Amino acid sequence: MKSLKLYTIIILLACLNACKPEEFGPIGEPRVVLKNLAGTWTISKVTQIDNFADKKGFPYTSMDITNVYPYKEFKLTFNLNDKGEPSTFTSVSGNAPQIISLSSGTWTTDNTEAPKVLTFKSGTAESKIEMGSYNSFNNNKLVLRVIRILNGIPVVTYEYEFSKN
Amino acid sequence: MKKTLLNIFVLLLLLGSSKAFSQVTITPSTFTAEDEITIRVDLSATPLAGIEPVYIWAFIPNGGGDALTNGSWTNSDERAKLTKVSANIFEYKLVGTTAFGKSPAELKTLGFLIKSKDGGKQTVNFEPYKFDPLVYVPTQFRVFPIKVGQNDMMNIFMDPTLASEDIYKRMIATTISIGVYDSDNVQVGTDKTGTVTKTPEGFYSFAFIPTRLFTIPAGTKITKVKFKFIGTGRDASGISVSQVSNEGEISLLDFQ
Repeated sequence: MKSLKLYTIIILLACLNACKPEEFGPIGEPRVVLKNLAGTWTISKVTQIDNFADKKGFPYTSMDITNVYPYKEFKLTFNLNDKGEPSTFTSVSGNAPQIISLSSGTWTTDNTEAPKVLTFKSGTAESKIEMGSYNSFNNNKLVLRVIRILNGIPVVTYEYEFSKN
Repeated sequence: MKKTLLNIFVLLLLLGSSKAFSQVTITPSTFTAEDEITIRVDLSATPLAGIEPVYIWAFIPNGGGDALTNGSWTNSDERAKLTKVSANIFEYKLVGTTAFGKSPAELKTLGFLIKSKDGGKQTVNFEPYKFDPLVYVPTQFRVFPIKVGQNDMMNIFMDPTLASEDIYKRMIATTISIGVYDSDNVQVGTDKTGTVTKTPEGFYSFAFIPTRLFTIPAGTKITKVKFKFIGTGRDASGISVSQVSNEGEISLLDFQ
Protein backbone atom coordinates (compact mmCIF):
# COMPACT_ATOMS: atom_id res chain seq x y z
CA MET A 1 0.00 0.00 0.00
CA LYS A 2 2.88 2.32 0.91
CA SER A 3 4.57 1.66 -2.41
CA LEU A 4 1.30 2.47 -4.25
CA LYS A 5 1.23 5.89 -2.55
CA LEU A 6 4.87 6.42 -3.40
CA TYR A 7 4.28 5.57 -7.06
CA THR A 8 1.27 7.90 -7.19
CA ILE A 9 3.32 10.77 -5.78
CA ILE A 10 6.12 10.13 -8.27
CA ILE A 11 3.67 10.08 -11.20
CA LEU A 12 2.02 13.31 -10.00
CA LEU A 13 5.38 15.02 -9.64
CA ALA A 14 6.35 13.84 -13.12
CA CYS A 15 3.11 15.22 -14.55
CA LEU A 16 3.56 18.56 -12.83
CA ASN A 17 7.09 18.74 -14.13
CA ALA A 18 5.77 18.08 -17.66
CA CYS A 19 3.42 21.04 -17.38
CA LYS A 20 6.24 23.57 -17.26
CA PRO A 21 5.83 26.29 -19.86
CA GLU A 22 7.80 25.38 -22.92
CA GLU A 23 10.26 27.80 -24.39
CA PHE A 24 9.69 28.29 -28.10
CA GLY A 25 12.58 29.23 -30.30
CA PRO A 26 12.47 32.35 -32.43
CA ILE A 27 10.11 32.08 -35.44
CA GLY A 28 12.45 34.10 -37.60
CA GLU A 29 12.31 37.58 -39.04
CA PRO A 30 8.87 38.83 -39.99
CA ARG A 31 8.40 38.48 -43.75
CA VAL A 32 8.88 41.79 -45.48
CA VAL A 33 6.65 41.40 -48.48
CA LEU A 34 7.25 44.82 -49.97
CA LYS A 35 11.00 44.35 -49.80
CA ASN A 36 10.59 41.03 -51.56
CA LEU A 37 8.42 42.63 -54.22
CA ALA A 38 10.92 45.34 -55.08
CA GLY A 39 12.83 44.74 -58.27
CA THR A 40 12.16 43.59 -61.81
CA TRP A 41 10.14 40.48 -62.55
CA THR A 42 9.62 38.60 -65.82
CA ILE A 43 6.74 36.25 -66.57
CA SER A 44 7.75 32.60 -66.60
CA LYS A 45 4.36 30.88 -66.71
CA VAL A 46 0.71 31.77 -67.35
CA THR A 47 -2.16 29.57 -66.28
CA GLN A 48 -5.77 30.19 -67.16
CA ILE A 49 -8.25 28.81 -64.64
CA ASP A 50 -11.92 28.24 -65.41
CA ASN A 51 -13.52 29.05 -62.03
CA PHE A 52 -16.99 28.48 -63.45
CA ALA A 53 -16.14 24.93 -64.54
CA ASP A 54 -14.27 24.27 -61.31
CA LYS A 55 -17.22 25.37 -59.17
CA LYS A 56 -19.54 23.06 -61.06
CA GLY A 57 -17.15 20.12 -60.90
CA PHE A 58 -16.74 20.03 -64.69
CA PRO A 59 -13.57 18.64 -66.27
CA TYR A 60 -11.06 20.96 -67.95
CA THR A 61 -10.53 23.56 -65.24
CA SER A 62 -7.07 24.94 -66.01
CA MET A 63 -4.73 25.34 -68.94
CA ASP A 64 -1.13 26.43 -69.38
CA ILE A 65 -1.27 29.22 -71.96
CA THR A 66 2.31 30.48 -71.54
CA ASN A 67 3.32 29.77 -75.11
CA VAL A 68 0.17 30.74 -76.97
CA TYR A 69 1.42 34.33 -77.08
CA PRO A 70 4.86 35.68 -76.05
CA TYR A 71 3.86 36.24 -72.43
CA LYS A 72 7.47 35.79 -71.31
CA GLU A 73 8.30 39.19 -72.80
CA PHE A 74 6.29 40.91 -70.07
CA LYS A 75 8.39 42.57 -67.34
CA LEU A 76 7.21 44.41 -64.26
CA THR A 77 9.38 46.57 -62.02
CA PHE A 78 8.34 47.61 -58.50
CA ASN A 79 10.23 50.46 -56.88
CA LEU A 80 10.17 51.46 -53.20
CA ASN A 81 10.91 54.89 -51.75
CA ASP A 82 13.51 55.62 -49.08
CA LYS A 83 11.09 54.52 -46.37
CA GLY A 84 10.56 51.17 -48.04
CA GLU A 85 7.04 52.11 -49.20
CA PRO A 86 5.59 51.48 -52.67
CA SER A 87 6.49 54.28 -55.07
CA THR A 88 6.73 53.87 -58.84
CA PHE A 89 6.42 50.98 -61.27
CA THR A 90 7.11 50.26 -64.91
CA SER A 91 5.75 47.52 -67.11
CA VAL A 92 7.16 46.43 -70.44
CA SER A 93 4.81 44.26 -72.48
CA GLY A 94 6.90 43.55 -75.56
CA ASN A 95 4.60 41.42 -77.70
CA ALA A 96 2.84 39.88 -74.72
CA PRO A 97 -0.93 40.34 -74.39
CA GLN A 98 -2.01 43.12 -72.07
CA ILE A 99 -1.77 42.20 -68.41
CA ILE A 100 -2.00 45.60 -66.78
CA SER A 101 -3.17 48.50 -68.88
CA LEU A 102 -0.53 50.96 -67.61
CA SER A 103 3.12 51.13 -68.57
CA SER A 104 4.31 53.36 -65.72
CA GLY A 105 3.06 55.28 -62.73
CA THR A 106 2.71 54.69 -59.03
CA TRP A 107 1.64 51.60 -57.15
CA THR A 108 0.05 51.04 -53.76
CA THR A 109 -1.12 48.11 -51.70
CA ASP A 110 -4.22 47.46 -49.61
CA ASN A 111 -2.01 46.42 -46.68
CA THR A 112 1.71 47.19 -46.42
CA GLU A 113 2.50 44.17 -44.21
CA ALA A 114 0.28 41.62 -45.90
CA PRO A 115 -0.71 43.01 -49.28
CA LYS A 116 -3.42 41.18 -51.17
CA VAL A 117 -4.25 43.69 -53.87
CA LEU A 118 -1.77 45.83 -55.78
CA THR A 119 -3.11 48.99 -57.38
CA PHE A 120 -1.30 50.62 -60.27
CA LYS A 121 -2.11 54.24 -61.09
CA SER A 122 -1.22 56.65 -63.83
CA GLY A 123 -3.16 59.90 -63.74
CA THR A 124 -6.80 58.89 -63.39
CA ALA A 125 -6.25 55.44 -64.89
CA GLU A 126 -6.09 52.56 -62.46
CA SER A 127 -5.40 48.86 -62.71
CA LYS A 128 -5.66 46.29 -59.90
CA ILE A 129 -4.06 42.89 -59.60
CA GLU A 130 -4.25 40.30 -56.84
CA MET A 131 -1.22 38.76 -55.15
CA GLY A 132 -0.73 35.01 -54.85
CA SER A 133 1.01 33.16 -52.02
CA TYR A 134 4.01 34.85 -50.38
CA ASN A 135 5.71 31.44 -50.19
CA SER A 136 6.67 31.86 -53.85
CA PHE A 137 9.23 34.46 -52.75
CA ASN A 138 11.26 31.59 -51.28
CA ASN A 139 11.94 30.46 -54.84
CA ASN A 140 12.39 33.99 -56.20
CA LYS A 141 8.96 33.73 -57.77
CA LEU A 142 6.01 36.10 -57.64
CA VAL A 143 2.43 35.06 -58.42
CA LEU A 144 -0.09 37.67 -59.51
CA ARG A 145 -3.69 37.00 -60.44
CA VAL A 146 -6.19 38.78 -62.65
CA ILE A 147 -9.73 37.64 -61.98
CA ARG A 148 -12.67 38.10 -64.32
CA ILE A 149 -15.92 38.69 -62.47
CA LEU A 150 -19.40 38.07 -63.86
CA ASN A 151 -22.39 39.15 -61.78
CA GLY A 152 -20.18 39.29 -58.70
CA ILE A 153 -18.81 35.77 -59.20
CA PRO A 154 -15.25 34.94 -60.31
CA VAL A 155 -15.47 32.99 -63.57
CA VAL A 156 -11.95 33.11 -65.02
CA THR A 157 -8.57 33.61 -63.35
CA TYR A 158 -5.26 34.33 -65.03
CA GLU A 159 -2.35 33.28 -62.82
CA TYR A 160 0.91 34.92 -63.82
CA GLU A 161 4.07 33.44 -62.35
CA PHE A 162 7.07 35.78 -62.48
CA SER A 163 10.74 35.07 -61.91
CA LYS A 164 12.99 37.72 -60.42
CA ASN A 165 15.56 39.14 -62.80
CA MET B 1 -61.37 39.46 -98.28
CA LYS B 2 -59.46 42.71 -98.70
CA LYS B 3 -60.45 43.71 -95.15
CA THR B 4 -59.26 40.37 -93.78
CA LEU B 5 -55.93 40.71 -95.55
CA LEU B 6 -55.61 44.26 -94.26
CA ASN B 7 -56.34 43.08 -90.71
CA ILE B 8 -53.73 40.33 -91.02
CA PHE B 9 -51.23 42.84 -92.38
CA VAL B 10 -51.90 45.27 -89.51
CA LEU B 11 -51.66 42.42 -87.00
CA LEU B 12 -48.35 41.28 -88.47
CA LEU B 13 -47.12 44.86 -88.44
CA LEU B 14 -48.08 45.23 -84.78
CA LEU B 15 -46.46 41.93 -83.84
CA GLY B 16 -43.38 42.84 -85.83
CA SER B 17 -43.11 46.24 -84.25
CA SER B 18 -43.61 44.86 -80.76
CA LYS B 19 -40.78 42.38 -81.34
CA ALA B 20 -38.61 45.08 -82.80
CA PHE B 21 -39.09 47.58 -80.01
CA SER B 22 -39.80 45.52 -76.92
CA GLN B 23 -36.64 45.46 -74.94
CA VAL B 24 -35.89 42.49 -72.76
CA THR B 25 -32.91 42.15 -70.47
CA ILE B 26 -32.23 39.17 -68.26
CA THR B 27 -29.93 39.44 -65.26
CA PRO B 28 -27.61 37.61 -64.93
CA SER B 29 -26.99 37.27 -68.63
CA THR B 30 -26.03 33.61 -68.25
CA PHE B 31 -27.87 31.40 -65.82
CA THR B 32 -28.72 27.84 -64.93
CA ALA B 33 -32.18 26.50 -64.22
CA GLU B 34 -31.42 26.81 -60.50
CA ASP B 35 -30.44 30.49 -60.61
CA GLU B 36 -32.85 33.28 -59.85
CA ILE B 37 -33.09 35.57 -62.84
CA THR B 38 -34.64 38.99 -63.21
CA ILE B 39 -36.48 39.62 -66.44
CA ARG B 40 -36.92 43.30 -67.25
CA VAL B 41 -39.16 44.35 -70.11
CA ASP B 42 -39.86 47.68 -71.72
CA LEU B 43 -43.42 47.53 -73.04
CA SER B 44 -43.58 51.08 -74.36
CA ALA B 45 -43.70 50.03 -78.02
CA THR B 46 -46.00 47.03 -77.59
CA PRO B 47 -49.77 46.54 -77.45
CA LEU B 48 -49.37 46.56 -73.65
CA ALA B 49 -48.05 50.14 -73.51
CA GLY B 50 -49.78 52.02 -70.71
CA ILE B 51 -51.53 48.89 -69.44
CA GLU B 52 -51.08 47.55 -65.93
CA PRO B 53 -50.95 45.21 -64.24
CA VAL B 54 -49.21 42.90 -66.68
CA TYR B 55 -48.41 39.21 -66.31
CA ILE B 56 -45.79 36.82 -67.60
CA TRP B 57 -46.69 33.67 -69.50
CA ALA B 58 -43.55 31.55 -69.25
CA PHE B 59 -43.01 28.39 -71.24
CA ILE B 60 -40.45 25.92 -72.45
CA PRO B 61 -40.08 26.48 -76.21
CA ASN B 62 -41.13 23.81 -78.69
CA GLY B 63 -43.98 22.50 -76.62
CA GLY B 64 -41.99 21.69 -73.52
CA GLY B 65 -44.71 22.94 -71.18
CA ASP B 66 -45.91 26.06 -69.37
CA ALA B 67 -44.86 27.51 -66.03
CA LEU B 68 -46.83 26.37 -63.00
CA THR B 69 -47.36 29.99 -62.04
CA ASN B 70 -49.00 31.08 -65.32
CA GLY B 71 -52.61 30.46 -64.31
CA SER B 72 -55.05 30.27 -67.21
CA TRP B 73 -54.78 32.33 -70.38
CA THR B 74 -57.92 34.34 -69.57
CA ASN B 75 -57.10 34.71 -65.88
CA SER B 76 -53.39 34.94 -65.06
CA ASP B 77 -52.27 33.79 -61.65
CA GLU B 78 -51.23 36.63 -59.36
CA ARG B 79 -47.86 34.86 -58.93
CA ALA B 80 -47.19 35.74 -62.57
CA LYS B 81 -47.70 39.46 -62.01
CA LEU B 82 -44.78 41.71 -62.96
CA THR B 83 -43.51 44.45 -60.67
CA LYS B 84 -43.66 47.96 -62.07
CA VAL B 85 -40.30 49.73 -62.16
CA SER B 86 -41.38 52.88 -64.01
CA ALA B 87 -43.75 53.78 -66.83
CA ASN B 88 -43.97 50.73 -69.14
CA ILE B 89 -40.94 49.12 -67.47
CA PHE B 90 -41.64 45.95 -65.50
CA GLU B 91 -39.61 43.23 -63.81
CA TYR B 92 -40.19 39.62 -62.88
CA LYS B 93 -38.03 37.24 -60.86
CA LEU B 94 -38.00 33.59 -61.78
CA VAL B 95 -36.15 30.37 -60.94
CA GLY B 96 -36.51 27.84 -63.74
CA THR B 97 -36.81 24.69 -61.64
CA THR B 98 -39.39 26.30 -59.33
CA ALA B 99 -41.41 27.97 -62.06
CA PHE B 100 -41.75 24.84 -64.17
CA GLY B 101 -41.51 22.15 -61.48
CA LYS B 102 -38.92 20.36 -63.59
CA SER B 103 -35.35 19.19 -63.03
CA PRO B 104 -32.45 21.20 -64.50
CA ALA B 105 -31.86 18.41 -67.01
CA GLU B 106 -35.37 18.96 -68.39
CA LEU B 107 -34.86 22.69 -68.80
CA LYS B 108 -32.74 23.62 -71.79
CA THR B 109 -34.37 26.87 -72.88
CA LEU B 110 -36.84 29.45 -71.60
CA GLY B 111 -39.49 31.39 -73.46
CA PHE B 112 -42.07 33.90 -72.32
CA LEU B 113 -44.46 36.61 -73.33
CA ILE B 114 -46.11 39.40 -71.39
CA LYS B 115 -49.91 39.70 -71.35
CA SER B 116 -52.83 41.42 -69.75
CA LYS B 117 -54.58 39.41 -67.05
CA ASP B 118 -57.46 38.41 -69.34
CA GLY B 119 -55.14 37.62 -72.27
CA GLY B 120 -56.78 40.27 -74.44
CA LYS B 121 -53.43 41.89 -75.16
CA GLN B 122 -49.98 40.40 -75.35
CA THR B 123 -46.46 40.78 -76.65
CA VAL B 124 -44.81 38.42 -79.07
CA ASN B 125 -42.90 35.42 -77.73
CA PHE B 126 -39.45 36.14 -76.37
CA GLU B 127 -37.43 32.99 -76.93
CA PRO B 128 -35.28 31.01 -76.65
CA TYR B 129 -33.14 31.99 -73.68
CA LYS B 130 -30.66 29.24 -72.89
CA PHE B 131 -30.26 27.64 -69.47
CA ASP B 132 -26.62 26.73 -68.78
CA PRO B 133 -26.17 23.04 -67.99
CA LEU B 134 -25.59 21.97 -64.39
CA VAL B 135 -23.80 18.83 -65.45
CA TYR B 136 -20.97 18.56 -67.95
CA VAL B 137 -22.15 17.26 -71.30
CA PRO B 138 -19.39 16.52 -73.85
CA THR B 139 -20.18 18.08 -77.21
CA GLN B 140 -18.59 18.33 -80.63
CA PHE B 141 -17.38 21.87 -79.90
CA ARG B 142 -16.31 23.35 -76.60
CA VAL B 143 -14.46 26.45 -75.57
CA PHE B 144 -12.05 26.87 -72.70
CA PRO B 145 -12.83 28.66 -70.48
CA ILE B 146 -16.61 28.32 -70.64
CA LYS B 147 -17.19 32.03 -69.94
CA VAL B 148 -15.14 34.37 -72.11
CA GLY B 149 -15.00 38.03 -73.07
CA GLN B 150 -13.51 39.73 -76.09
CA ASN B 151 -10.15 40.27 -74.35
CA ASP B 152 -9.83 36.72 -73.07
CA MET B 153 -7.72 33.87 -74.25
CA MET B 154 -10.07 31.24 -75.60
CA ASN B 155 -9.26 27.76 -76.79
CA ILE B 156 -11.77 26.25 -79.19
CA PHE B 157 -11.88 22.46 -79.29
CA MET B 158 -13.55 20.08 -81.71
CA ASP B 159 -14.14 16.43 -80.86
CA PRO B 160 -15.11 14.95 -84.26
CA THR B 161 -16.40 11.75 -82.68
CA LEU B 162 -19.25 13.72 -81.10
CA ALA B 163 -20.41 15.32 -84.37
CA SER B 164 -24.02 14.64 -85.28
CA GLU B 165 -23.27 13.57 -88.85
CA ASP B 166 -20.91 10.87 -90.06
CA ILE B 167 -19.17 13.16 -92.55
CA TYR B 168 -17.94 15.31 -89.65
CA LYS B 169 -17.03 12.30 -87.53
CA ARG B 170 -14.50 11.20 -90.16
CA MET B 171 -12.99 14.68 -90.47
CA ILE B 172 -9.28 15.42 -90.07
CA ALA B 173 -9.03 19.15 -89.32
CA THR B 174 -6.02 21.22 -90.31
CA THR B 175 -7.21 24.81 -90.01
CA ILE B 176 -9.99 26.85 -88.46
CA SER B 177 -11.85 29.82 -89.94
CA ILE B 178 -13.03 32.39 -87.40
CA GLY B 179 -15.26 35.44 -87.69
CA VAL B 180 -16.28 37.97 -85.03
CA TYR B 181 -19.59 39.84 -84.83
CA ASP B 182 -21.00 42.84 -82.99
CA SER B 183 -24.25 43.02 -81.03
CA ASP B 184 -26.22 43.66 -84.26
CA ASN B 185 -24.80 40.41 -85.63
CA VAL B 186 -22.76 42.37 -88.17
CA GLN B 187 -19.38 40.83 -88.93
CA VAL B 188 -16.42 42.93 -87.82
CA GLY B 189 -13.59 42.61 -90.35
CA THR B 190 -13.18 39.42 -92.30
CA ASP B 191 -12.66 35.80 -91.31
CA LYS B 192 -9.22 34.79 -90.06
CA THR B 193 -7.67 31.38 -90.51
CA GLY B 194 -5.45 29.59 -88.04
CA THR B 195 -3.65 26.25 -87.91
CA VAL B 196 -5.16 23.81 -85.46
CA THR B 197 -3.27 21.38 -83.26
CA LYS B 198 -4.34 17.88 -82.32
CA THR B 199 -4.40 17.02 -78.63
CA PRO B 200 -3.42 13.59 -77.27
CA GLU B 201 -7.14 12.94 -76.68
CA GLY B 202 -7.81 13.39 -80.40
CA PHE B 203 -9.39 16.86 -80.16
CA TYR B 204 -8.54 19.62 -82.61
CA SER B 205 -7.89 22.98 -80.99
CA PHE B 206 -6.99 26.58 -81.64
CA ALA B 207 -6.24 29.24 -79.02
CA PHE B 208 -6.50 32.99 -79.52
CA ILE B 209 -7.59 36.31 -78.05
CA PRO B 210 -10.30 37.89 -80.24
CA THR B 211 -9.08 41.47 -79.80
CA ARG B 212 -5.59 40.32 -80.67
CA LEU B 213 -6.44 38.16 -83.68
CA PHE B 214 -8.78 40.78 -85.13
CA THR B 215 -8.45 44.54 -85.47
CA ILE B 216 -11.49 45.89 -83.69
CA PRO B 217 -12.38 49.51 -84.56
CA ALA B 218 -12.48 51.91 -81.60
CA GLY B 219 -15.94 51.97 -80.04
CA THR B 220 -16.89 48.57 -81.44
CA LYS B 221 -17.51 45.68 -79.11
CA ILE B 222 -17.67 42.16 -80.38
CA THR B 223 -20.22 39.88 -78.79
CA LYS B 224 -20.00 36.73 -80.84
CA VAL B 225 -17.42 34.42 -82.40
CA LYS B 226 -18.37 32.02 -85.17
CA PHE B 227 -16.02 29.32 -86.39
CA LYS B 228 -15.65 26.33 -88.69
CA PHE B 229 -12.95 23.70 -88.77
CA ILE B 230 -11.50 22.96 -92.20
CA GLY B 231 -9.70 19.83 -93.34
CA THR B 232 -10.34 16.58 -95.11
CA GLY B 233 -12.83 13.80 -94.75
CA ARG B 234 -13.85 10.59 -96.45
CA ASP B 235 -16.86 10.25 -98.68
CA ALA B 236 -19.09 7.18 -98.69
CA SER B 237 -16.59 5.41 -100.98
CA GLY B 238 -13.72 6.15 -98.63
CA ILE B 239 -12.16 8.69 -100.96
CA SER B 240 -10.47 11.68 -99.33
CA VAL B 241 -12.39 14.92 -99.90
CA SER B 242 -12.17 18.50 -98.63
CA GLN B 243 -14.36 18.94 -95.61
CA VAL B 244 -15.66 21.92 -93.64
CA SER B 245 -17.29 21.29 -90.28
CA ASN B 246 -20.64 22.62 -89.22
CA GLU B 247 -20.49 26.09 -87.65
CA GLY B 248 -19.90 26.71 -83.98
CA GLU B 249 -20.70 29.87 -82.07
CA ILE B 250 -19.47 31.46 -78.85
CA SER B 251 -21.19 34.34 -77.03
CA LEU B 252 -18.79 36.83 -75.49
CA LEU B 253 -19.61 38.27 -72.09
CA ASP B 254 -19.01 41.60 -70.39
CA PHE B 255 -16.90 41.12 -67.31
CA GLN B 256 -16.67 43.54 -64.39
